[in-house]
Amino acid sequence: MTKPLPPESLYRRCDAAQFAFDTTAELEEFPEILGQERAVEAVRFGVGIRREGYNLYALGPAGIGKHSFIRRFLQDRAATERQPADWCYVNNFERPYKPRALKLPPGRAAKLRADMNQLVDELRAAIPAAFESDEYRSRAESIDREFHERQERAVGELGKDAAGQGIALLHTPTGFSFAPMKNGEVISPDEYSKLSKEEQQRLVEAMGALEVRLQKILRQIPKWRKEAREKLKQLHQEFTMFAVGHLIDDLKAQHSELSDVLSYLDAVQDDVLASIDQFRRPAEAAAAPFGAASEEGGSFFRRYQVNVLVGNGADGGAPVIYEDNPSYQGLVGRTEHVSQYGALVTDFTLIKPGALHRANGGYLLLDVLKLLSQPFAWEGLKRALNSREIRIESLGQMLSLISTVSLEPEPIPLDVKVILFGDRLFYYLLTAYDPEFSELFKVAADFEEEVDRSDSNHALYARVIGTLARKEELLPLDRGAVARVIEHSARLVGDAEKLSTHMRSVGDLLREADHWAREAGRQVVGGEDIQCAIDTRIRRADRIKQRVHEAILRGTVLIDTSGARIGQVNGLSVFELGHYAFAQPTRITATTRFGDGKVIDIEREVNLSGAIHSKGVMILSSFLAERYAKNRPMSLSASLVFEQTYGGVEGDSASVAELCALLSSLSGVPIRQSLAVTGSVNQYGQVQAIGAVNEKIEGFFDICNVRGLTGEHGVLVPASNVKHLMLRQDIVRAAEAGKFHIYPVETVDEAIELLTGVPAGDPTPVSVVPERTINYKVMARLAELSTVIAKRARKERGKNNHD
Amino acid sequence: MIDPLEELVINRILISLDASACGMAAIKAATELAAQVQAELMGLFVEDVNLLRLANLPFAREVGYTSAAGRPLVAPEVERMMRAQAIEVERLLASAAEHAQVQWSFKVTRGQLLAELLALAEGVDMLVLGRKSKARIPGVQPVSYHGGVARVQRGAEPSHRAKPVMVVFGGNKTGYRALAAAFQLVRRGGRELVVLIPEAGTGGFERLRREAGQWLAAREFRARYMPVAAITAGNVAEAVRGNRGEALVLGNMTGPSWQEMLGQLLDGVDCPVFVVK
Repeated sequence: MTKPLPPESLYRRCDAAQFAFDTTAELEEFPEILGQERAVEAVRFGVGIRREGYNLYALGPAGIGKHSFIRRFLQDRAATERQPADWCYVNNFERPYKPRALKLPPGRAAKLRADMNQLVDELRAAIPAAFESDEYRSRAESIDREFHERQERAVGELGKDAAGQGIALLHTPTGFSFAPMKNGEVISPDEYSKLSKEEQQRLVEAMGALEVRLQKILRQIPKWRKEAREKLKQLHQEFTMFAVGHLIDDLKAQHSELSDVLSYLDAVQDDVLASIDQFRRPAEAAAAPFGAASEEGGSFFRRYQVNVLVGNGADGGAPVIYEDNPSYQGLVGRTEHVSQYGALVTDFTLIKPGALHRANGGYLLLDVLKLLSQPFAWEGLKRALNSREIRIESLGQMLSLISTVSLEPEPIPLDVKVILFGDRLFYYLLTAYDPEFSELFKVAADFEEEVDRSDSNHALYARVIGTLARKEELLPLDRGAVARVIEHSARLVGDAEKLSTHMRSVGDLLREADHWAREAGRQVVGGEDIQCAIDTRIRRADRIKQRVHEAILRGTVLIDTSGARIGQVNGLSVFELGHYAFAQPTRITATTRFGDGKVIDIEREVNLSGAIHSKGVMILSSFLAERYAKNRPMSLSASLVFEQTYGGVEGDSASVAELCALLSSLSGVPIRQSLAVTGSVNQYGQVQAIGAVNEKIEGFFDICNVRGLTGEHGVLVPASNVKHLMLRQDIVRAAEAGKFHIYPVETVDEAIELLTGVPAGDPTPVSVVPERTINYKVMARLAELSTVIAKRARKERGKNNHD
Repeated sequence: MIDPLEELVINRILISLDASACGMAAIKAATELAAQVQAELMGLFVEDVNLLRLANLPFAREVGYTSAAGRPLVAPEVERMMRAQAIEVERLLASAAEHAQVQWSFKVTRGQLLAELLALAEGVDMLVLGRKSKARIPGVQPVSYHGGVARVQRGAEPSHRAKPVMVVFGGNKTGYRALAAAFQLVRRGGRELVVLIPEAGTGGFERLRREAGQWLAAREFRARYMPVAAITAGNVAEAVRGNRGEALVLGNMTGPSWQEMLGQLLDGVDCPVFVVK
């Protein structure tokens, strides 16, 4: 008969004496990440390799420390790397809808912006001043006068010639006319009629000739005006250049090594020369209405602004950017609009950078779940990485949904290392369903969720705890507290030989323990504070567990913990609610009868069984057939049911319990109800490991404990789960007192022996199975059922022959 | 010293009207002055008799200012246009006068502008004349250097420097009256006053400058003084044009050459001319 486990096997303690410190305040900082050598190597490789597509995907659950480790790693590395270039957008004077991107050395974009603002201020003062000068006024007046004199002279000469012929040049309301004069007055029609025909003919011909000359003069006036305007334009340019030239030359000298900036300044100069009127207007005339673009002067002068998209400061290093809202436009940037006269308008100054701009030349960190949750963000990121440039387009533009005129900013070359953080599931799904993913994210950094539990790792874990406490400004922990945290860490992963690397959970525990220690007025966190944090956390989460257990204790849910029953066994079910898991005993019953060899899983019949559970039931059917019906038909029908369960049943951890219930029903040997059993079984009757072994044991213990422990109570667990045991202290104490037992079982035979108190008996060879054993009784029952079948078959055949 | 302000009583201002930009400026300036001195404003529109005669001649033709196209000139159409102009300037005068709360009247006569104007000037204290377009071509806009090459509307052009009021000061009684009238024009508008003083003549430039300066200083006003060789139409017009004068004020003169000088002056300047009697 299998012996119960010794109490020391139920909980692997962490001996506080192994630590050489009094409190964690004495411990050195632990700058790295515990137990993640594989992931760290992958990160080093992925960050170090500067090739296309070698972006990183950090796999692992949230809270494991991926973010903080990689960010710290990158920040250290980025600090030694070259600071990337500044980028800004400036107006494209030839095609304003295509703003120009300017690349400048780090820190220079802000200077260029300030320089341009100052330039515009100076131009707005210098140009009007130049045009107010006496020299300009005199020369412009001269051009004006020349134009007027030219036309006056031409018309005046014509008037004189006309007067010489007795003809006056007169103004009409809309033009000129010629009229014969007499004594300073136009002659009357009567006087005209008295003139001789020859004189009349002469006058008409003379006036006709004068009209032709007048028309010629008038037609020349637009040409003269054009010439005068050209002269005036040249004069304007001369004076503007005088005001502008040296200012722009100064700017060029300051940016002489930047050819793009020089060509931009040339374009600025040309534009200023072509826009003199704007500079000569009073300030209020150039301002935009409705304050649409009132900043830094009038709207017109916005065209000379520099929109610094990325400006690096003096602190140096490559950027490490974490974008916590990775929307499409949050990544690639956007063009904003302002309302003007009821319409939405935009220009290059309203271009806003995205995370890719800010991270360009460095590193961009993104959460894959957030990224995939944002419409088209993933597509936008892939597009940028594939094309290696950032193209700012609205979603409407990208999808060709709208075709209204908008900006098409010049794309900016992209050189960024993207690090995605996410669960493994997303990594595998993306690998399977998105061919581009593997091309773009060639390095996977797979973070472990647990590390081996060893003395050396205990020491490192203590440093991790100390570092966390220091970083969070928590009270230091004494040795006992550290040991208790380590034990709890093993419990978190459900393995006495492992420690959790889920630093968020450990951090939460430390914070809560710090709270309780401060509440108690202690200066150092002790083991009791850790335990208090654990207990209170469970207390906050276990309302449902209490209700479920209460239902059992009040007899609403039928669970026996004493006596013995045929075909009835206590199985153990685990519930996971949020971050809290607990177990309850579940009554499993089996009935057997004459039949055709089928084991009916009632849960499956009503679609309340998950696939794994159904698989477990089929395996135990196969076990029965393999062991007991190799050479004859199994004339048995059996039914299995989880009593009083009203939801789905999943998992195969009840298959040992189900098999034992069946064997009890077949053999007619009752099962002790003071025991519960968990474990899965294979076709050869071997018991296999299951999950949540600690919770399952605790679930049964809690019921038995309330009803009163008698020393008969206990739980059968797979022997392969013994290493996972990290049970509560009250259970360990009960085991020490001999009131509660944990039995490790390797085979179904061991389990049925413990449950029934009757030897299983070696089933092979069948012919020598000893009596008074379970296997004998089962085989005898099956033989009996076979005999019934055989008799019925003979009777049927005889009846058929007689007919 | 003569105190022209005490003697400057302006009860009636006669203004010749046309629909040009200068005519508009004349209406505005005359209305402001009339409001200040509480004078009555008499608008006069003269239908050019020569033009009407011309239109009745069988061969009368007209060449358009801007189109340079020749077309027959028909008397009824000329008369219709003149009536339309008269109606328009009357409306403008009424609007300005009512806005300034100035008493006004309006008269249309037929004849030659200056002769009609001077004939009616007997009973008034001041004449205001808009530009009498002659050599320059109305409708053909001058090349403006103030609004840039793309903006040639002189009437709308911005000005960063206020245009001055110009006054001819010869030191005699009419000179002081002209100075007083000019002072009335500038005192409220904050404009600059440029005093044109003949270098040749009684007293010379310095004395006249001193007299005018003292008179203005007594009124806490400072002016700019500009010498002209002699008070001729050409000299005064050149000075006004050179300073881009907003208005020219001068005292009344007599004699046969006065009408000729006034005609030349109106041809030579682009601003209203105020003649103080």
